[in-house]
Amino acid sequence: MTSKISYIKLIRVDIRHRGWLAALTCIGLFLGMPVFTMLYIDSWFSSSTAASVAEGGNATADQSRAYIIEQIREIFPGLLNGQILSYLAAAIAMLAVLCALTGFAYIHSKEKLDFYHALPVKRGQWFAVSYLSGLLIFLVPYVICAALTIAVGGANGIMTAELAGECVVAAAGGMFAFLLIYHTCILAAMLTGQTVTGLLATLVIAVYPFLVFGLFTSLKGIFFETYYGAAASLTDALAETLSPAGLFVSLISNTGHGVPSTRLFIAAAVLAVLLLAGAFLLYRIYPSEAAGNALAFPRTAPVFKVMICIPAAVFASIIAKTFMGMSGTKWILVLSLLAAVILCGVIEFIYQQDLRMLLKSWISSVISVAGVLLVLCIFQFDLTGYDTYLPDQDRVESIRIHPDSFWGYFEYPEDYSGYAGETFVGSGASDEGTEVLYHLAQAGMRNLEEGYTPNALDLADVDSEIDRDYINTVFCYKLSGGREVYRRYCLGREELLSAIEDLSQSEAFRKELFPIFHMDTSHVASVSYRDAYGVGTLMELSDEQIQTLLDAYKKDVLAVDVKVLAGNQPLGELLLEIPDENAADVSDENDTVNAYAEYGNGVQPGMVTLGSFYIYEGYENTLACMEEYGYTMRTEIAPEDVQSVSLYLSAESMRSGKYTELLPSLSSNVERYAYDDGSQDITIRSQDDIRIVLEYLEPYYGGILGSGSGMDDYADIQFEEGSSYYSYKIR
Amino acid sequence: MIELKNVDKIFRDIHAADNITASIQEGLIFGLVGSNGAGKSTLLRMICGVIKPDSGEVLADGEPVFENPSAKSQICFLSDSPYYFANANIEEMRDYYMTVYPGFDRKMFDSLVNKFDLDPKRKINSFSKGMKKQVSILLGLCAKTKYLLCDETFDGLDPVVRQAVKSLFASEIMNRDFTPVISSHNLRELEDICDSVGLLHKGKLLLTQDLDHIKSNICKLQCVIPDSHKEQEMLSALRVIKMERSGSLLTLTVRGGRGEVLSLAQDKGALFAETLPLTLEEIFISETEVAGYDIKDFLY
Repeated sequence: MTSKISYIKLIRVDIRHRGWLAALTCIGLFLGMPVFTMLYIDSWFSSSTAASVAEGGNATADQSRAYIIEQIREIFPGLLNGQILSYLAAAIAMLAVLCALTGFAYIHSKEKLDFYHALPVKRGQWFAVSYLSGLLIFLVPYVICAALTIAVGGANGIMTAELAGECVVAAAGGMFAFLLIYHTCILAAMLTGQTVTGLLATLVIAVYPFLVFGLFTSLKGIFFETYYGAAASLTDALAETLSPAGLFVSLISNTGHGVPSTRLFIAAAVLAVLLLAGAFLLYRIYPSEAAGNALAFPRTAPVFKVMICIPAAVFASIIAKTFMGMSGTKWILVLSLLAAVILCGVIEFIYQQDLRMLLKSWISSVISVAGVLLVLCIFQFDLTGYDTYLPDQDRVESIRIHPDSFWGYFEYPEDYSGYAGETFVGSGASDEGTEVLYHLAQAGMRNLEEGYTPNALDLADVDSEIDRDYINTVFCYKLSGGREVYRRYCLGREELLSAIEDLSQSEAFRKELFPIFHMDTSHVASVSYRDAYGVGTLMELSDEQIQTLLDAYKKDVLAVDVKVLAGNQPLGELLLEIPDENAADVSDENDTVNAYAEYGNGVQPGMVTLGSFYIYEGYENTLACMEEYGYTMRTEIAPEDVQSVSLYLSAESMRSGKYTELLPSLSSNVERYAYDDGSQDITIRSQDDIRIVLEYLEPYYGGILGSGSGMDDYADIQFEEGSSYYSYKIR
Repeated sequence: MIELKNVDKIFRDIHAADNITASIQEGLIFGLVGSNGAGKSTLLRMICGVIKPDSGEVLADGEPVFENPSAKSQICFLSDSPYYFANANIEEMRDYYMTVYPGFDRKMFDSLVNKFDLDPKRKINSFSKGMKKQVSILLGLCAKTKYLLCDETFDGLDPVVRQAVKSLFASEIMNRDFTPVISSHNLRELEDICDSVGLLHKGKLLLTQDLDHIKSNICKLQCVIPDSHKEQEMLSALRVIKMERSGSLLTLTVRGGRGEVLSLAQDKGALFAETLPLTLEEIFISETEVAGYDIKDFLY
């Protein structure tokens, strides 16, 4: 009956009826994309600060411009999808909701539904008309504005073919992000009979997987002592992949950096198709009498209530607990049950819109509250045996560990190549190593049973028994099926050191352990060193000399006794300058500098400086090599090199009289500033006083397993040649 | 012809259409009468394909209506609360109807809008309730569909417009293949326009017949028969629906033609006898009483 011409006419009429939305979309996107881009680029070019970053402020105008262009190129794709301007991302989401609701709100009105569904057009066609109209209302202005934005980039000399491709990807990311929210909102409209409940349903559908899986992770972190949160888990992946809101954010962020992730696009496409298919199927059976009711399918009401109430109640209690700064888990139960009761009432009110009917569906309310109780019981009493889980030894392929002290002690190049998580070391190469670490894990389990838990250590006072003698260590079990399981245990320092010593018998382990083996040393651009002075000194070495030095260093670390790393004071450290992999593909023009000039330690644009290549007294090869090249590690600080020393003394130290020997020996010329709590800052400038105080100072190094004590008191030294990179420990 | 075959529809705990079987003949004005909540609107919404019956089927000229644009193109439904696009004027609504109903008679529509003194440029949402109904009727009439379903459409029209609309319906029936179906709970309004009626009550269709046929087969007899034996003979011979006695005056509602009933009374030696026609209202009250329904359920 309805010809193709009239079908197109219906779309045209629908768009005309939603003219205000089309106008709003055009204005919003125009301001948020090409106009903002023009202003943004102009602000970059007119920023003298940005220009001065390049070449230390001595850059020529051309170099500065080239530098800025490089920087803008790096972020330009983000201008097309809201990655840079979060308001644009919010606008895309808001427009998606508006396009969906204005297109399908008619099913929430009996009059409109009677009007449309009585006309000689199939429901499927109505769906297509409303869907396509909404899509066109957004897509046409978006594509035009994206093209204009690219044109703005082109006009400013920013655009290259490669960047244009990245912009297309970013725009595609924006479109997919729009589709996700658009389809979510349409599905929500089909599930409900009122626009208000449709909006609420949109929110629920958009964040529900994120809420559930995110909650799962949070509860594990709160209730389980051995949980290790930094490792990406299956639940985290599901939270991101199954949640429209999570995917929306990921798409914007990912494509905004111009780095398309096929996995993300596929996930977004699949989810978008599923949401749309669900909406279409529901539309075909959408009951006309549903208009005006909270839900279109009343039989689903108790199911939705239970599904929403359980995670939302627990989530609300965790939020409340976090805001109130409460520790422990006892309040979570009380708050969750309270939240469950309130949520049941709220949801029932949304359903019934009558306060007298709040108890009508009391069975689902009871199930919701019981569900909350059950979930919390599972976690509280560890009914799944999470904390007591230790895989059977014959199922373990390898074990790798990461003691907390590694964070401060080592600096791995992987830490600078995007977010790679922690570097684990372990037993990949030997069965003996696996056995050693398995026994260590068993020791961790025993400690757990005795109350030496990771959380107890995290919350322990400085210099308490547990703080001195124990260290938290993350274990990664690689099981025979390829699955990786993470657990965190509180281990005695001695037993951990002993295990590392055993493992260090293997060269393979040492190569995993020491960062020098994690990089291609031929890429090292320069080497500096720090000694007791803590000020970096660049070693002027040829490439060959650098390799020789690093080879010597490798020899030393392969031979060093691990006890030395744990207990001895290093003489200093080497600093290696290596290419920053994040910025490696940015600088196409050799005479320009990199966009990531401030990244890493900022020595050279596009480079990153890694420290923590410690040199101990026994590193004879390294020290000899340095001597040969004319560099000697200074172990003492000459007072005449020091301009001033600042002591920062804690209230606790002042009360305990820890420095009764040092402080009286200082002259009255020192500048003292006493705080109300009893702590003091003391600045020493006279040579005599400096000489005295230097006797009490030594550079602070935690050692491979940490120092076992915090550093409440410390000193900073201002040398004639600059400030020290170190803070010094006061003996 | 519109056919309803065992059509059933339940909304939660309300049986809105209870196994309805009926047919609406072409070229006649069909009145759908019933109390509030009897299921008139639901039945019309099923006929026009807005609602799918839980069971049974609705056919228009032999074709199922639900999700069938071909069948639906022959049906125009005028809701009791017509919907117009936000800020739309009559011309915009006309254009939309022209898009959806290719047979829409624009010339006739413009002419009627002029005759009804409606401003085609004025926003419809500024019209009175009656004027909105007028626009709805004119749009439906000019869509030139074979079936026009009017749900309480005459409510809110002033008597002059109502008469004009009735004339238009009559004219359309004369000029083309046109079958209006008019639902109302106002029996008096339908009495002088409908050719046939269907009586709906609590989701059940009590009867559906030609109005003249109904009227010619039921009448009221008032008579005085002194011989009680002969009176009894007369009552036995008549199909009495309702009987009232006031002294010696007997008032009966009986099935049968007026002449036939009067002749029977006179044969039994009636001192006084006369027959009176029944209004539609009286017929339905009688019929519903027979069907066991309380008269108080009905509203006029």
